[in-house]
Amino acid sequence: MLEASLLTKDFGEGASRVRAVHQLSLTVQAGEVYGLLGANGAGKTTTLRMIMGLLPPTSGEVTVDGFRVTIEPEEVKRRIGLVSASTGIYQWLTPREMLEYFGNIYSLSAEQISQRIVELSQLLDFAKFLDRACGNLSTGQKQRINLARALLHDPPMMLLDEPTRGLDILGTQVIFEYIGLLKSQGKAVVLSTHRLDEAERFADRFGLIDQGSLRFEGTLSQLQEQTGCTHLVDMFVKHLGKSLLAPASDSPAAV
Amino acid sequence: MPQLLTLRQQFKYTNTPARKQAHEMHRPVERNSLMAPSTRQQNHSFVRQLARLWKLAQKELRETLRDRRTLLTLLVMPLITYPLVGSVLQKFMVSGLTAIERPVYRVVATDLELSQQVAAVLREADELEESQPAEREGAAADSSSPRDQTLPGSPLLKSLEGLSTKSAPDSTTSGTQQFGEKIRAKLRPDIRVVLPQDQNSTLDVKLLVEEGYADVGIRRDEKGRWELVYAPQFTASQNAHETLLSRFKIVNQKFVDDLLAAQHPPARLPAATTDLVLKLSQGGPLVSIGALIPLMLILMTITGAVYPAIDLTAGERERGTLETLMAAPLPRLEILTAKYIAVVAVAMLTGAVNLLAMFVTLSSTGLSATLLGEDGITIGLILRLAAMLALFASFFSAALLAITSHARSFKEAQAYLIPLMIISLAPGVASLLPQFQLSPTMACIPVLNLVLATRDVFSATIDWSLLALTIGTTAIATGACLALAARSFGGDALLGVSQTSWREFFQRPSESTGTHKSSLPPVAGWVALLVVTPLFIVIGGLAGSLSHLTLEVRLLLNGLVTIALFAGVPGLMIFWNRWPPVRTLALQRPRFLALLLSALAGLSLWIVLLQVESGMMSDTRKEELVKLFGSLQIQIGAIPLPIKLLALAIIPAFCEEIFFRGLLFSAWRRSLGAWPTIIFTGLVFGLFHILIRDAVVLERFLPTALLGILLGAVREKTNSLWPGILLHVLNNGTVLIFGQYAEALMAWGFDTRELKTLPVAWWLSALVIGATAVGLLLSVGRPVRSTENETPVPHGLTV
Repeated sequence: MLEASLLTKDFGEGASRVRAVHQLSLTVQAGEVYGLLGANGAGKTTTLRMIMGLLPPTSGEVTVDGFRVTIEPEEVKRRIGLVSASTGIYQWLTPREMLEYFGNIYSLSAEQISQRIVELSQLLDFAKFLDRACGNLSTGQKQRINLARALLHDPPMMLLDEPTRGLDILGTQVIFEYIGLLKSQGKAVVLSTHRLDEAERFADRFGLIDQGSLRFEGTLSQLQEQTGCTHLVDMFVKHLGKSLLAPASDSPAAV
Repeated sequence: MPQLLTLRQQFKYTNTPARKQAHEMHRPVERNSLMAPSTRQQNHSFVRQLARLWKLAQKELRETLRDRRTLLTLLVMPLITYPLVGSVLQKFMVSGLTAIERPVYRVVATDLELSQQVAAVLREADELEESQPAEREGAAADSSSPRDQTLPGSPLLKSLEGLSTKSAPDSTTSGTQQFGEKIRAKLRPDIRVVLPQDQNSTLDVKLLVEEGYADVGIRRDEKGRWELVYAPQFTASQNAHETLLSRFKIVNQKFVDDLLAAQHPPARLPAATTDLVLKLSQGGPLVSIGALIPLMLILMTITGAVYPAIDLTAGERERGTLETLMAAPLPRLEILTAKYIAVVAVAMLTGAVNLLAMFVTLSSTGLSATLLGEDGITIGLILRLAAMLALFASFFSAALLAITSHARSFKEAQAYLIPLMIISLAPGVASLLPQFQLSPTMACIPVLNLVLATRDVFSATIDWSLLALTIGTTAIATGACLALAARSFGGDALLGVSQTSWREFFQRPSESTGTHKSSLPPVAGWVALLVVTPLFIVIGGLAGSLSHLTLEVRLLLNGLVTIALFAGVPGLMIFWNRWPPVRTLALQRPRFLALLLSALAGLSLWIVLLQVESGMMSDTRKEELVKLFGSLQIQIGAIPLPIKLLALAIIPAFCEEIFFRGLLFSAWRRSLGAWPTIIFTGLVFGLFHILIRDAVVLERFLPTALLGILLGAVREKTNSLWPGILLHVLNNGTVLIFGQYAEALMAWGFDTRELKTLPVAWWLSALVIGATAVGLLLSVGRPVRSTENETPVPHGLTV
């Protein structure tokens, strides 16, 4: 479903140029959850943005369902659903209006939109406040609307960028359910997070990213073999710990 | 979340193999959506796209119109403010009328007999003036006040009833209408002839005028004529004298006319004349509202569009919805177009509400006749207003979106808009100046063309082809703005990789962290422009009041101001922010060849630029300018050449280069790209040069903007400020030197002073030489640098 090969991204020019992602390659199959793990600033979000076509890569290519992101970004975008912790909603619209808006953006017909809204509002339990202004909803309610928004056009591939950041236990639980749901629907999922426990729970394969490069990749057992550690946390501490703790590692590596 | 779990179990694809599911899951959507439009559908796709655009615009509109702040600021405010301001204005005008006192002048004659003679003449003058139809309006004034009074401070004098001027009672005008007439009537001076208390005494009128008891004294001279004694240093005395003379003249004229008419056959004066006064503007309102409408429309549309423009662009980012929008399979231009439709709609709505509130105010306070002429508010007027409103709204909405799409936050967007406001209001003011006329050139300058076209539309003198040109230019500018907005909306920088905040900008970095701000943020350019522009305009206006100083002093003052504004402000900003001065201002050493070529360009291109400027002007305009600046030019001729060169060539060239091609260029270069920066700084440079002292010389825009663009290109290609400075100094200096020897040159048919056309051979060869020099200059390229991230190593004298 997803193939990213040798992605590299530089920001800035001349003296202030920094390399955020360096020759990163990964593949994700349909029905597979891929955990993209790394510390803050390791390059996870930049990688996801390149996959979505939000940022043009300095070099490298991304293919989603056979479409190349640099050539047909719209076809790629059409096949991806994005959930991000930082996503907001339109406070003056109702959830229904907001979903209708995104339905129009994704070129769904009016019947498709209303059908999907009914389905999703039952699935994610927000039928009750479908016609209330979004500004008056609670954080948990807003979160559900956003999850529904990402699924509205029924994309075969989902990108979850730190989906549990800033959520309480209940909110986190909803995300866990959601990931399970996506998996059961056979979607290809990329889950970017620094929460190793939730990754261990859901991901089929992992990619450990540090300073923009993919250090280790594979299933949990493969990683255990490679690193000689049982848990992801240990792998991080042992192999990436030095650079994690060193003061310079907080920012991406300078070229 | 038990419910979620159960629902998940119910989900119909749960039991099928994952890969097959995925396939089936997205296919139904794909089939019915526009994912792969077949050729069959393409006929409908345009209509469909429009329908979708409208749906997207609906969301934007909903979002804006549900926001109570929008409604309050855009719709409720004008509905309250206009009637309030209108009624206050009306009260002020009415009370202002009563406050205007009809001037009363006191005239004293030596004795009773003379007093009566003068009074009789004045009475006759009143009657004659009243019987003349043209003057009837002016004579209308109320005169109910008693005139019999003893003047304060003088026991000798009392006024004589019946001797003062008589006026017809005002019966035709009433209420709040016909302000103009009333004001004119009020201002007709009243002349009172003051009589001595003792009828047999003879008065010393000279003394009385000197002491201030009377404004004018009248006595007989030795030939029996009336000698008017007055003191011109007192305004009242001076005015009384003039009024008396004009009224005596009427009576004398009548006397002469009667004498001539009594002849057989009736004779007439050798040069008798009558006047036929042409009234070109219909109705002749007191204030021409046509000139004010553009300014009002600019204000209305900008205030209407500002809030939604910011809210729908920078606001998306603040709400955190920008990323999801960018992740959608929709061209940015389409997103922006939907937003644009919403902004235009709100701007139009605001404009309509404003106009409605204004019309209601005008007609309820009775001001409409005064401001709009006899017809008042007509359907034609409303239609014309609506059409022009639509034009203004469509352009300004796009312009605002282009700016706000750059911004990362509400606050930043607001700060960006201040320059636009200043730039937009300036052409609005231009419509008040009669020397600005809609011409083919003018019709191609955005905003200014709209302003001038609007004025012509409302004075019914519009040239339709120019209006079409104006609309065409505006449409192109609007499209360009939208494209620009789409380019920057949701761009790399906005998605939040590099973030500079306002606070960071205003904080002075500490010495240790100073290095991280080595590159100028674009906002630095706007701040600099924002500081310098108003100061430049204000100081330029003040310069007109310094005419008592000698020209040398004024030139030196001018030089100092130039240094303070164009070099001082960038210098302070660089010092404050600890930017590296050499890199910020591009003071790197250029190639020697680059200097040589710029010298060549500077020495030749001024002729071409002068030709362009002269080509922009009509002959009458040239005469006007020669009149306006001709005396200045003659004076300048007397100034020693070194001072002239310093004040008009060297200082301006250095300082302007530091400001325009140094600070502004560096600030915008990275975010705008090379050519947009070159062109934009060039245009700003041109705008600064149309102000000369307190006059606006629009014809200078094109040549100076061209020069600015050329200098920008030189700065970009040579990566140094020095070639540009040299070019600029030589360009200005050569004009001055040639001006110095203008008379000698005139013998060669080369008249720089009166801006006449130069001989073709001259400017054509200059063009060839200059163009060659510039072409070589731009291809010479940047000096070789050792590494990219270090300050360049001086490159010596490579040729």
